[in-house]
Amino acid sequence: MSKQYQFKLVLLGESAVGKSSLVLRFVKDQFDDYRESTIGGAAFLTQTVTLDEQTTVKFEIWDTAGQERYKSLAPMYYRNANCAVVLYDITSSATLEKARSWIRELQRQADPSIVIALCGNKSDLAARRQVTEEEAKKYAEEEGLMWAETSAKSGEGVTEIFTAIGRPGVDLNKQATAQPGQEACNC
Amino acid sequence: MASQDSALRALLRPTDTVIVALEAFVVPQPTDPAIGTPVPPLPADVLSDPESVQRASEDARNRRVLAVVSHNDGPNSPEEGSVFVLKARSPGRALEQSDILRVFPVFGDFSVSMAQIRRSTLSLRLSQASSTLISLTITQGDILGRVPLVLCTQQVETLRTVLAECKRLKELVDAPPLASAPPLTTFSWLAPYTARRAPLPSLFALPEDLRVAYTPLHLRLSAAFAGDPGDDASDIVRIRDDWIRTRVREEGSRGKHLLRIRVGSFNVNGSLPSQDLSLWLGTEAAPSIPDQSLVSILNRVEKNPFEAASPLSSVEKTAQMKVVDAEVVSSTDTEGEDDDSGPDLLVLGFQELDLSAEALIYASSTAREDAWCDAVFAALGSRAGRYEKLVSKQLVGILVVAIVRTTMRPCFGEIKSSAAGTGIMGLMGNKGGTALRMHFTPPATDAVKAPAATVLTFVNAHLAAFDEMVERRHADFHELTRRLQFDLGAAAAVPRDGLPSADLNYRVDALDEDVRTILDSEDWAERRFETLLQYDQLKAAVRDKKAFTIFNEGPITHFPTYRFNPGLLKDPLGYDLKRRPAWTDRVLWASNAFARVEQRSYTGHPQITMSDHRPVSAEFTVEINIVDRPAAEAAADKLYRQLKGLEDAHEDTNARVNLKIMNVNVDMGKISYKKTVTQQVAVRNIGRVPCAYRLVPVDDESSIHPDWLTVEPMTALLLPDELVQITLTACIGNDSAARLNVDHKELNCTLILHTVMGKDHFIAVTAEYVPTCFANSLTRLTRLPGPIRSEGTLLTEDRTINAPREVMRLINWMMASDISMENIFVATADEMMVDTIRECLDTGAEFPFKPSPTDEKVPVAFGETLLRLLDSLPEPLVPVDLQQQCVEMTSRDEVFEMLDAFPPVAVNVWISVTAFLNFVCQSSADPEIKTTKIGGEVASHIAYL
Repeated sequence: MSKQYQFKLVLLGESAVGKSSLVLRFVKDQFDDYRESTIGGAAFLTQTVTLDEQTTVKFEIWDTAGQERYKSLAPMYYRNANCAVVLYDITSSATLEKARSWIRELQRQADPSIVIALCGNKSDLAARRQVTEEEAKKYAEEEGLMWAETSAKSGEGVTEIFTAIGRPGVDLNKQATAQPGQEACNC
Repeated sequence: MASQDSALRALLRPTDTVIVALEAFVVPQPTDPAIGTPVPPLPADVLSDPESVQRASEDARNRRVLAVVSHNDGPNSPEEGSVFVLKARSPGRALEQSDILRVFPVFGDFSVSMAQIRRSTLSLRLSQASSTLISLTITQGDILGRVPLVLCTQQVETLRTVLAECKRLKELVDAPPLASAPPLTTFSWLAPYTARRAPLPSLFALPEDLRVAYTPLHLRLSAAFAGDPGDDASDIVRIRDDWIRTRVREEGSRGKHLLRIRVGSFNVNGSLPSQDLSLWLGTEAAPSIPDQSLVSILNRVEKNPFEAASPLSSVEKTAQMKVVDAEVVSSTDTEGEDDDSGPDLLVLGFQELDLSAEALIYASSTAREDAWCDAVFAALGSRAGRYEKLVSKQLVGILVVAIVRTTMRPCFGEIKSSAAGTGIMGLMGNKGGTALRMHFTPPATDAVKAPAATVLTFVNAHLAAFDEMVERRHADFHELTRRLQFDLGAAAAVPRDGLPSADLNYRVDALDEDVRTILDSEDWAERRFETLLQYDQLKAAVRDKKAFTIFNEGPITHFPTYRFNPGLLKDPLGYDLKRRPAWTDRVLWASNAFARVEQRSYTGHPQITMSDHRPVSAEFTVEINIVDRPAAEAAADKLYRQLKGLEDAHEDTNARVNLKIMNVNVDMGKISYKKTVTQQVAVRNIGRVPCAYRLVPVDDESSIHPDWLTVEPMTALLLPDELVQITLTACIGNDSAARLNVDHKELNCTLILHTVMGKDHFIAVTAEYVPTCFANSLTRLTRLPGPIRSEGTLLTEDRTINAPREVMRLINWMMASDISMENIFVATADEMMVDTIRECLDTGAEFPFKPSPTDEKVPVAFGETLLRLLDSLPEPLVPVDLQQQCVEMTSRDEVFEMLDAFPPVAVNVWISVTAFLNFVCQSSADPEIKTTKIGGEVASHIAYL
């Protein structure tokens, strides 16, 4: 019998790094060149991925606004989250700095079991790259994070990162079979 | 079996579990070839034909699964059960793919019955040796429009478990819950299952519990926070039902029917009727019975001026006239023989009908009830023939009787009664309540052939006695609301339209001597009742939300109804010296939007003297919406179709629901003390499906909005393209001002608007607080370097001024000017002037008023401003811990000694204020009267009383 897991996932990162575009690609496989910025709010979307024949994961995704004005509300969205995708834009070093500060905050304040992925978005714009793969990867390894580069525009790496980020949670639940995981439901 | 269970579980929400599942099948109704539609269900006929049963059992399309499902929210909420009937979406498909066809909540009229199907003619194919075929019939009479369901099964053992579980669940629901406050919503957990299937859920079937109706919709939704949307699937159903309910009411409405109801309450103290009751019943006195009470009350007329009380209604005026001059009454009595004046329904509550000890133990005879009913009909006089007794209910001494105008009798149906004792051991009937519930259906007309019924409920309660038992009375009230159940089932005891009449026994919390003085003294004539009712325990209970929260009461303009003493130990008004006079006998009411109750009169009847209580009466008109049932049902159907897609949205969350907030940044501008500022936020549904929003707090420790801001509506449903204006209202009261005066001036907050099954929107609100001298501590006021709006840092503690300059400015202006003191603290102040004066105190500007001895308004405004300033102090002028001692002071010297315990700044203010009060009183023509008049008024502002 197949098992479905339900994970809360939060997207964090500087304004305009492509959080909403990444979700749109993941959920609907669409891309919109002139997407309006997510003004004051947190969008809620869901998408289910199949990890293997027996396992599916339903992500409840909170796509938060990147604006500084609402930074104080961010903890409300990453509390109880199983996964966090922290996004930066490979064409802007400043956005990696912002991503680092989000990761520090998550490590300090989020649930200790949260799985964090650092994602360099806009890999289709490699010509204007400011953040090298090595630099980001090294940082991710030091902090024990997942790391990948993605392009919401081309779709490169998008499904892969969401599939990968669901895996540790599933494994964790499988180990803890003695006490049925709160996220798992027998479906 | 195990796989069936887990398949069923997949269909359910996590809070719900399958207790037992039964495989069964239905026998389809034969189709009437002439009409082409199934003939009305006649299950017995179908089942008596073994051939059709046989055929049905072999057809996979007829297979059903019956599951008993239990719901449990947690240890503190009661378990509730329901029977689900499921059908696989297509024959042979897995159970996961089932549809929930029917849901039968286990409560009220729910029943399951079983019968063995006649086997004599069954073919051998079916009766495989030992198999027995049983039919079961499930009914849920509380939900209208639902026909019983008949199923057949061979699983006899499982069926036994089903029946046992249904019985158990039914008992659980019928038994009183353990918690003192019953849950507000029952069976709401079923909503997500029935949302799409039932075209017409129980919108009309059960009267909406008034406590639910009075709770704003957003408080009835699940707990939700930013990033934690709660139970969206249930919430959307509640929002939808509320939306439909409101609109069905509008669309099904076909005018109004006015129902006139007179309610009376009388604690008869065990006596039998020995006087005419016509005043209480609002009818003319029966001339044959000599009314001794008239004589006794006439003696009191000069001392007990009824004229003093402001007349409430024509009825009361008539009553007064009777007292003074019986001639006047007869001359105004021009009613014809077949008039239809007078109430349509008379509901009379008696308490202490029978005080004998044995009455507690045996159900006594109806002798006393009969005696009182006879007296009532006698008092109806010439109208008696036009009325008949509808129903009565007695519990020991607590009797409630409903008397109806005979011509209206056919309008009343579904008459039910209930009783609950809360007396000795919490059960005996010496205290408690009796209640009546009835359906009132307005007469059918050509335009409205099938009007819908309105539920009326009347409760007659007698709560715990004695001054100090106020908490016990609250408890009795809650106990009664829980235990006064009607056969109707889970609909809770507080009715749709409740009119309790009762000896509620609530007293007046004021000193005995003061109560008597205020009642008797001429000087108190104008504000006598208003003043005393401030200390009324029932009013306080409603104010503090301790009991009777949803109830209203008309203004009391009659003298206290308790306790009169016919002997010597009485005060000049006839009140017993050992009991503080009180309004123990009250009539309260509550209503919903379907039936608007208006109180026309509220009268005590001091002329009826046979008990130690005096009876009270109240007249009501109930404006009942005439709702055309077919029209309402059609409207509901249409509205459901308009909402197509609403509940489906949660299956495909992604971007189908889409609200746009037109202005996410709202600047409220500058906000001054008690000045209301409003702004609007436009929200439009730009998606293709209906969608709802609700405002949610950031987390479980926060409120949705700060205390200085209100938001309306907190939740709403929008059809595609619909626009809703959310109104934000900022107003700073004493509590907010006290905090803001000390703290930051920036009033910024973020509102979180959660789209049900969708995005959280943030609305950023900014505002700037303009400080005021009101709501500052006296200490802080003395440390201000100048007027509060001027610049500068607080003075150090050694350099504070002696007394707040604001208090001194007010008192100095009034004492130094040549003005009329007569109306200060007595007349009502002009709000504009009070605002202007406060503004001058805040800014330091000169008062723009010229003192004039002929001007009354300006001094009154100054006096009022002073009282309000004292009122706004976070700590009262008289420190809380010293208030009791202050009340006990008897001499001037003691008072001065007492002042040493006051904080120094309070001493200065105290002396200035009392000096000023003395000045005001002495400048009056009659200082003593003036002192009494303003004393109580001012006292409540300088101490919490």
